Amino acid sequence: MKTPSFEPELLSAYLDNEVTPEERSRVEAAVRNSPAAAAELAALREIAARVRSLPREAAPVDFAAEYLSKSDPPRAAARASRSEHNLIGREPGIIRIHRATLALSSAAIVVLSTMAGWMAHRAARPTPADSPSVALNAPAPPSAEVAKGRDVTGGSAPIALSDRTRSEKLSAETPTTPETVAEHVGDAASDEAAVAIAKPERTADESRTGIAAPGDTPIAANEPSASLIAAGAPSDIANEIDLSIEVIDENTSPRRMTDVLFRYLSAGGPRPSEAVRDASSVAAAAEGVVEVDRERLGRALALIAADPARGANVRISGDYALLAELMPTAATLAFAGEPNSPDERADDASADAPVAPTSDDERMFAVRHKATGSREMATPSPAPPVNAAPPPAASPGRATRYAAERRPTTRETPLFADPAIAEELEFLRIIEEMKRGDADSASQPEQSGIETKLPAAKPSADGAGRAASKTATEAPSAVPNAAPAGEAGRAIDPAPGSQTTAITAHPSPPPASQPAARTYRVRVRHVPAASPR
Amino acid sequence: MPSDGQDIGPKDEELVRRAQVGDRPAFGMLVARYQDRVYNVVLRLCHDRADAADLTQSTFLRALGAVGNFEARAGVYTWLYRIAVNVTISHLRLRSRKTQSLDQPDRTGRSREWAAPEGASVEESIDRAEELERLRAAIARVDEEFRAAVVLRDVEGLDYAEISRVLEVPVGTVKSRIHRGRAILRELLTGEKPKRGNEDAEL
Repeated sequence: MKTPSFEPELLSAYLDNEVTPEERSRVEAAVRNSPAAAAELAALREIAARVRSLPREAAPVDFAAEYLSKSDPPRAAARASRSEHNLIGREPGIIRIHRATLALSSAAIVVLSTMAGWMAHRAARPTPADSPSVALNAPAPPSAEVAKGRDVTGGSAPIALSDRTRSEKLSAETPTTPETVAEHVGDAASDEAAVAIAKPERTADESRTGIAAPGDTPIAANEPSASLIAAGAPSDIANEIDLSIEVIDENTSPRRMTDVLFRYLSAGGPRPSEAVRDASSVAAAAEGVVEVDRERLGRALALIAADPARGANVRISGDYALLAELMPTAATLAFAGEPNSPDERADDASADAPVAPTSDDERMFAVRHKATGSREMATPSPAPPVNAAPPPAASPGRATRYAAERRPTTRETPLFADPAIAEELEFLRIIEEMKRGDADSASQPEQSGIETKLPAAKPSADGAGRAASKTATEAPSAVPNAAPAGEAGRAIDPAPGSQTTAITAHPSPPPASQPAARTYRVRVRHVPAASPR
Repeated sequence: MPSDGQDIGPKDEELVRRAQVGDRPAFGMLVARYQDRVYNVVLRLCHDRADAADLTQSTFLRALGAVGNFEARAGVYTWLYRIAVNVTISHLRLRSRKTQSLDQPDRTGRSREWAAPEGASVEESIDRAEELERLRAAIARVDEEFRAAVVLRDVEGLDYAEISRVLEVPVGTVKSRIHRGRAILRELLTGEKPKRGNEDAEL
């Protein structure tokens, strides 16, 4: 069959009525005579229609009003032209910081934070009784320190809380990972959340890369809908509830949110099924416990994370490591365990372990920078409380630091096709592998202090692999006693009108108690709006 | 073709003339007239609401700085879109050279479109949200130059000549970019590689 030839672009142009009469006739003849051309045209038409179906949105800011409210528009225009790419201010037109100012401010923050930390360290000598009232204490001194005979009594590092008001709510002591976790609670007035893990000292690599240690500056996470708040949920732990999701019943949307959550938890997706009907009946009862695998749980939490409006009406409490993994953007963790500190490198080297390649270290920092180095200014953490215990004399090994966070992981499939999400999950996978390797090294040889070769973590996808094998010689006390004994803390309720999901994390159970693959018990329930937690 | 508010109140050209002589409310009216459109173009290009708001503001501030040199040969909207596209593409290129925030996709605030229309079932709501997310993610993966052409055509409804003026490329290039952009989108969304429309045609 003879059909006239034409350039493929003509199909799109034909769809858009942007062809000449002669081109039109050629295309139409081709479409009549060629099924392939007809199919192609139909596919292009569908794609164009889908793009057109994207809903339009109103600008979130009334720029006209802002412009008219400014007193000196020419100067504003000049500022804009000077700082074209300096989009640091999250509120458009309100905060714009010049690069030089930013650099000076960052330097000042680092210097002040370092000085404050040093002064606090000097002022508060560690004694067991000195454990701060606002602190997440390590349950035991890092075994590496014990093994090396260092003074680690009261070695709990202070929690660095940047928000004093909120820090007062974190009044109970919570056993946690040996590196001591410090959560920087996001500003209640903003959507931004922040999470940081305290790290006692800036490492050489951090100085080299210019990235502040998380102990210096809480790392701002950009997740708009969630804050990771350090606290405990002892009742949930006692009832073997891994995660508790409370939907605050302020209007009709929480009911829908709960339904959706149940669908995702029970059926792994929105499709109707028997399980969904069962789940809906549970939802109708306003409370229920669902046993769910990791992937389904991840999808359900992703829904919350993706939905700041509804997320504001949701409180989540549960296992720290689980939350951190399943809500990676909510808990953008500045992992304190990168093998970058000189101490760690020395430990590795002394144990004849292949030292992780520098490029890998750099990659970790780069990824961490990606996780945290957004355009928000990282706000400096306040000085630790006066009676706070100082940081350990030297950072504990990665094994001890990660042991308490160990969780088996089965999820490899990204929740979204979005490449950024996939990249993030890849990052988390690498971290998980590191943790797994470290936890392994923490669990077995440390019981006896015998040096043992351990299997290594898998190389990362980009070839920047971890060491092929490593050794560990840490003492038994390095294995954290993760289960909190008593009241571990209180959840922080979202402020009225806040767009922040309250997420409460408690330390992970001991790794040894976790089977290789398991389901998670998730409690979902409605909570009356005025009900205290 | 954009003409929001053109039928009501002064014409764009009149507002520009007044703005050129320092009439601030006139420029404010221009901003009010086009802020939603500019914001939507930028949002579809940069896939991030926070960035889109910043870049929309940058666009208008740039326009304010350049309004004195504006010659009304092209439409005001063409001029604003050109600034917006240039500002956004510059930003995207700058961003691509830097490390990106891992949680960036979650800052798109996609939840605004999560809600289904009144009366829609939960399933419909979720299906729609997922479809939009897939589409948005796919658009974000298309090369900037193709993405800009497709967005200006399919989101903003500009014709090829207008797109040509906004992007400052020949119409033939616009034609090619739009087709290429749609073909890439099709491949991303359906996994099907586009066939040559005339592959079974004979010369």
